[in-house]
Amino acid sequence: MRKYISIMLVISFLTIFSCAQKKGVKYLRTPIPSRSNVAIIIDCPNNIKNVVMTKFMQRGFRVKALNASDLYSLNNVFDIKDFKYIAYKSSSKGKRFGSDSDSLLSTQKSYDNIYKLHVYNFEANKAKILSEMRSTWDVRYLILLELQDWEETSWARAIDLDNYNLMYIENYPAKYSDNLEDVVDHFIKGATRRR
Amino acid sequence: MIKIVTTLLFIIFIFSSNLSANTLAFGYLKNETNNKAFNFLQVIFPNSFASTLKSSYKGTILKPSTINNILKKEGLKLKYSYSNKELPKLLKIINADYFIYGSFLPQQNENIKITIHMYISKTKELFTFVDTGKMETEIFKLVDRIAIIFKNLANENLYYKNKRIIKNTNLAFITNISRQHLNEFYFPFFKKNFSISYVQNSDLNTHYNDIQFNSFTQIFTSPVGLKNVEDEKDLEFQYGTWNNSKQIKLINKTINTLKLYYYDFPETKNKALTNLANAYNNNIDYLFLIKFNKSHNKILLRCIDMRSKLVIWYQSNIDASGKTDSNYQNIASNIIKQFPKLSSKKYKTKN
Repeated sequence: MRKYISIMLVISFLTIFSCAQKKGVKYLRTPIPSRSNVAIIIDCPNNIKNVVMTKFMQRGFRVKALNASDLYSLNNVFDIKDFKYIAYKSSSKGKRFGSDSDSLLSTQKSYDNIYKLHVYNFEANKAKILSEMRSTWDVRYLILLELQDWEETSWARAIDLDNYNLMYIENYPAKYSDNLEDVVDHFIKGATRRR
Repeated sequence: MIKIVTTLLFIIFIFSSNLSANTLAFGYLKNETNNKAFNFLQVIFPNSFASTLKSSYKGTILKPSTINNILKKEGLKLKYSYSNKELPKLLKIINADYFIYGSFLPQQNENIKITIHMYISKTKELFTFVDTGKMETEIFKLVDRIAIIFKNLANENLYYKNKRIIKNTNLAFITNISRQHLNEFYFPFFKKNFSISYVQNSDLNTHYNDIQFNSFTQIFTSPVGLKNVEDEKDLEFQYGTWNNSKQIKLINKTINTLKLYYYDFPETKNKALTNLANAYNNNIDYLFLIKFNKSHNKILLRCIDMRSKLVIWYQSNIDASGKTDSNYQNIASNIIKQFPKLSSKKYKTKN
């Protein structure tokens, strides 16, 4: 009986431990030098945004006012999901040009093709915008952050706008003792030096 | 009792394995030249493919002569070429899951170019690819190589890869995952020294949802790719004196839209890919289009070589089996394992 209880306790302990212990990942190609020009994209209330920007400024980064001049959240921005409606509106659906099945199929295929083109063009346009960000705003690194509560995984990513490549990624499962500043500090340390 | 259950299970196993076996039918490979001396190859090629596969393919293989016998009963004859519209009916008559046909064209320096079409009855899709080899010295190697490609294509994984992914190159991914999951997915690529372009990575969340992303299941970059056979259905635009100018304007607008996004789509898409490559300073070597399933434990992969703008890798059902407890990392590792392989792996050639 004792043996049984001990085994059950060990299994319960391991189960609880494995649930709480999420593994992080980190890769840093080259450390981001402090005093570099960075733009930070984070979708959170403005008071939290201020804490994040302050932390970066305290570490010597020149934080450009991108994503800091908006009062709206990124969720309010027009979404590609609406594009499907636009595509169907401009197609021949519902009109009888040839047989119905042909018309419907070619409409669906045309929509699929337009969607594929949209994806390629959307990514190309983003590259052009980010290239302007480098030339007009003098941003060298674009940093993306998402901060989560305890037990959830916060993550960060940095893009070098000089060579169009990702140069830092990190997933960090926040600890119970971490506060907002600790998590931001963790990412700054992660992006600025190899561990 | 145990004996009865075991016997029953064995019978069910045998029965189910038979059910999953597919029928692969070979039509002719049309001689594209005017030189009749090459006509014998129209039958030799499919028969050779069938013979090469006979020992290794689990399903049934039909040679052109067998198909002809079946068609004769229906008062029909196996043709040297088929329009896409005719394929579903043909496969119904011969009761096959896959139908392989195509053409060959002898070229300079004793080379021969073979264009193969594989019609997949279940999905009504047509996979096309091209292979070239030496007419005299490498003809058997060419036949073996193509036969291995058939074997890899004729199953639910639809595996086709005609080029190796070179080490230390620059990869770009467009996927339907985002946030920390994308970081987990990238991690194994970084560990293997690949660079990852920031395509899709400047967003906090992916804009690409599962349903819309299905569009990438079929991509075609001539001469290789997958497409619906109904693609080439001709649309009739019936209009005449009874239409007013507003209606005719609408019809013309529709015709132009279809021309751009349906009939001339390969050309339109090629421009878009060139535009994408230029936007990233021609820094991307391979563009991967990867769709994760709902449970995020399997993916569908399509890969475009951004130098040639050709699709070089098709594969479905790459799973998340692996060493880590992250599906994303395991899937990435399983993709990397495939980098040096070709779907005609028996005869490795340099990139």
